[in-house]
Amino acid sequence: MAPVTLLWLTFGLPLAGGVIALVADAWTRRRLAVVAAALGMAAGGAEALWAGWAVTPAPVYDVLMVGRAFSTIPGVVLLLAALVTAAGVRESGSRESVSAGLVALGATGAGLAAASIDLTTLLLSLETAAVCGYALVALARTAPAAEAAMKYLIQGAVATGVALLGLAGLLGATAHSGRYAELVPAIRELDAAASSPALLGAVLIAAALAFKASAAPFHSWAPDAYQTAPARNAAFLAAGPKLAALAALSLFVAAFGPAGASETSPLGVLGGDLLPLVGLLGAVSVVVGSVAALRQRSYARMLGYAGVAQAGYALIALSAVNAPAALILGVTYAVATAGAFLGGEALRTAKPDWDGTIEGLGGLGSRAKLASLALTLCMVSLAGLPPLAGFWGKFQSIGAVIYSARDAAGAQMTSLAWFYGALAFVAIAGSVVSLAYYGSVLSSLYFGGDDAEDGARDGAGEDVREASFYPLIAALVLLAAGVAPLIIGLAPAVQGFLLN
Amino acid sequence: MLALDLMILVPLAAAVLAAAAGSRARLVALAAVVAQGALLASVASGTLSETALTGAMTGTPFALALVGLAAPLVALTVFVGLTAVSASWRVDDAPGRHFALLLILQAALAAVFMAADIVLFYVAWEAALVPMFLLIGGWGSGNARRAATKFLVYTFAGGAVLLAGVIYAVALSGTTVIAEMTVGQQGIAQTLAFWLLAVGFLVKLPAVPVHTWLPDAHTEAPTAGSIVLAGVLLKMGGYGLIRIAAPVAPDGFAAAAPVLLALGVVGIVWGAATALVQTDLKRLVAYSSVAHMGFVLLAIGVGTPESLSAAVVTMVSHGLVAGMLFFLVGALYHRTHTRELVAFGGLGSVAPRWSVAFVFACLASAGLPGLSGFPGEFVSILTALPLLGAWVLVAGIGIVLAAAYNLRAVRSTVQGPVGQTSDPGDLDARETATSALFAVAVVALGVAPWIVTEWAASALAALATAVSGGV
Repeated sequence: MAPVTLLWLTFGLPLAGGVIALVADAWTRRRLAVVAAALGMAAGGAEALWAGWAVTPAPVYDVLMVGRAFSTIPGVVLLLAALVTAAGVRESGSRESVSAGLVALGATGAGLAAASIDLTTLLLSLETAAVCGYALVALARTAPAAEAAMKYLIQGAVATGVALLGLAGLLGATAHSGRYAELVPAIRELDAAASSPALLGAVLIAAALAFKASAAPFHSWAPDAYQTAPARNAAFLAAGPKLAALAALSLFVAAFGPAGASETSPLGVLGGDLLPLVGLLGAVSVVVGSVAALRQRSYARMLGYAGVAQAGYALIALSAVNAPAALILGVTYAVATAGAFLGGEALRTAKPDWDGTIEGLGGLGSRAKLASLALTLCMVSLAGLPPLAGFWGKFQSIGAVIYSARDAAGAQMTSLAWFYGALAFVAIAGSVVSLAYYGSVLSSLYFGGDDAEDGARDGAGEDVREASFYPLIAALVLLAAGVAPLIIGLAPAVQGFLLN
Repeated sequence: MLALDLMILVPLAAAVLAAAAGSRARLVALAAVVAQGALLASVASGTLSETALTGAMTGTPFALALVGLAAPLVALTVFVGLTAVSASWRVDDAPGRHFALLLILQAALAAVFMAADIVLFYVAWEAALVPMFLLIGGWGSGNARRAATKFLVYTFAGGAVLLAGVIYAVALSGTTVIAEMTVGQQGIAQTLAFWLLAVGFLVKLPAVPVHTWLPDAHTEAPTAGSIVLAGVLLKMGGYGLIRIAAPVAPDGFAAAAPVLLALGVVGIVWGAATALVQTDLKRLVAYSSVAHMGFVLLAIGVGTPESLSAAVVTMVSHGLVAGMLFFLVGALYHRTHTRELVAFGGLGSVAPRWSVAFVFACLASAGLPGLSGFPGEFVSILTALPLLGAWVLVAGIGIVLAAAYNLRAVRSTVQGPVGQTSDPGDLDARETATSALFAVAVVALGVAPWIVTEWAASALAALATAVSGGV
């Protein structure tokens, strides 16, 4: 199949689904809206996932790529968006139908961002996803949600401004084209003096992408948004746009980074400064996210801060110029975190008066068995324990920095070796701490006291079972993807995450 | 050999079945563990010491090999698993989930000992964590929730460092096949690789400064959990040191040997002394584990073929003896709902079968010649003598203390006037049979320790050559 066909299948189907959903919503055909959006995204996502596995990367329209990681990431974003949309099909109120349309548009934008090899296209598609994101938070129609959405909107607008400033800096210093293929050689030609505005531009763009990926210190919007947004919308926000932003950042760093690894190249000035900065951002995110997540009582806020730490692991892998490792981590995080939000929603079906705290999940382990099982698998995966998929993300990320440390030590670059060694230490320490906060969820579920012991088994069994179905899909995918590399080998398992 | 793969897959499949089987889960679990044992019996043969058996799949991380060193530990895993199923026969709180977790543990532990690829080894190592966490927290007693969390975070901290060590060792040796891994570089790389690997193993063993998770976890865990923890989980640490850390970084191991010796001696004395002052019977047994694992560490630190054999014998022996003690203490707790030493007394007259078994187990734990505790610990002291000189007397204090705390346990339960728990009732037929099974194994290993060492001999000799630089 021609690359352009693949591209249109990947993004055209969800776009069509989203448009149908918005029109159907206007005609109050709410269930049709949800179904159309979910089907469009599922079909586009499945096709993209196949292309990520089978197709070697090829450019389309000069600004987008198809194949391998350029298709896998949009595929995962779209399939997760389809999952969270489908989870709302039973309710199908006005919130669900509007959400379905917005999620479809947002997922399309996020997917396009992950396939962009052009900075202008990248920023435009991320902005599309972001606008949908603001509305998805506000859709909870509560005062805290409105406040969180406003905060998200204002900070997002600032991030966009910063990104545009950065783009101007990069383009002004070089080739007047945002395409990586032209930009990178143009930067290579710069002399040391002219490269500083280019470096500033690159740093600003990286900062804006870090904001979208909710890396510290640009993360303060995320916990508020996740906590106040409707749970399914939070699931999408924490999984889709965030994964897309991580992927975009990975491509950006991968395009600029490798040249910086050798200190004699002209780009060394730029790449040599950008990589340590990314690593530092990652370390700060791990520390800030982990410490804050430990202190949270709210389940959704905990997931929000945990997501900050997860972005940190990805950035640490990126600083070792290992985009596939960062992408594997991002994908396993996105699937598990979507499952975690959906699992929380399923548990709310079993206990409608759940106050949203971790402690409040007490005793649900024996009342909502399937939802608890799904949540358990998602938490274990997020903590990076084998045999769940999250382990491979952590394995590859920590591996990336340890390999870099070894290479640096071999080349007698002692301080660089120490730097990467320190990053490995931070990632390991963060993952130990993460077990404490993810483990506290399991601890509540299975060992916590059941405060509804007066026989009030609220929530009909049928509803709970149906709501448990969606997180269980995510959990079983994590289990299968965690075991598969053991059987098929590590090399085939990472094939879909390569950039070439 | 498909049999090796099935030894992992059968318990896993049975776990799914057990989760859905409700109250019949115990039958599923029993059948699965028996099947695991039968598969082991079908592959274990006299040739095991010469060549390793490999699983059906190789070339991917899921590659299994039964090497001579691992065979006794896999046998121990099956045996202990069997007794754990027996110990939890009457679990009525969510039995399906309980036996499912036990079976997942069983598969993970067998995979740890049989992994031929270090990635699989690490996956199996960590896969045992969450099932044990859920077992302790879900079916434990007292402050189980806290003990479970402590166990999880503490051993995972060790495991995370181990992950760094695994990746570093793979990065330096360029392969993930355990048998071929060796760090080529000299100096700092050797030391770094050894300690990164060893920290995780030492936490699991546990060695003394990092042992504090053990008393809580062992004490609060349900009986089956304690049996598996003491019987098999601790052995992962010793096995890792012998099979992975030492061969991968032999020079690093040689440099670290004095530290291991010192940690071993400290563990022996500290564990025994702490056991002596416990007022909780289960805690007493828990601390005795620290002391016994000190002997293992001491023997590993010596690094000769004889001492490594002693380490393996001590590990298997402790698995049997500690398993039996936890089984008996669990049976008593089930009837009396107390573990306080002062509450017991005079059980010799009211519960004679329990008392005979308990006295037997305590004597084995104290290292009575003829029982399994004796040969391993005796040889480890003997081989340490040339290295430690007079310092070996310190370890000797540990042996005296072991006699003291075991006899104290016997005196305050079996002997004396009948305590508050006047008539707890004696062991029933299932429990008696399980205890007898333990006792037979303890006597067999005590009389003929070579049933364990002859499997491991050639592997250990090769290792000793590697770490001593071929002299």
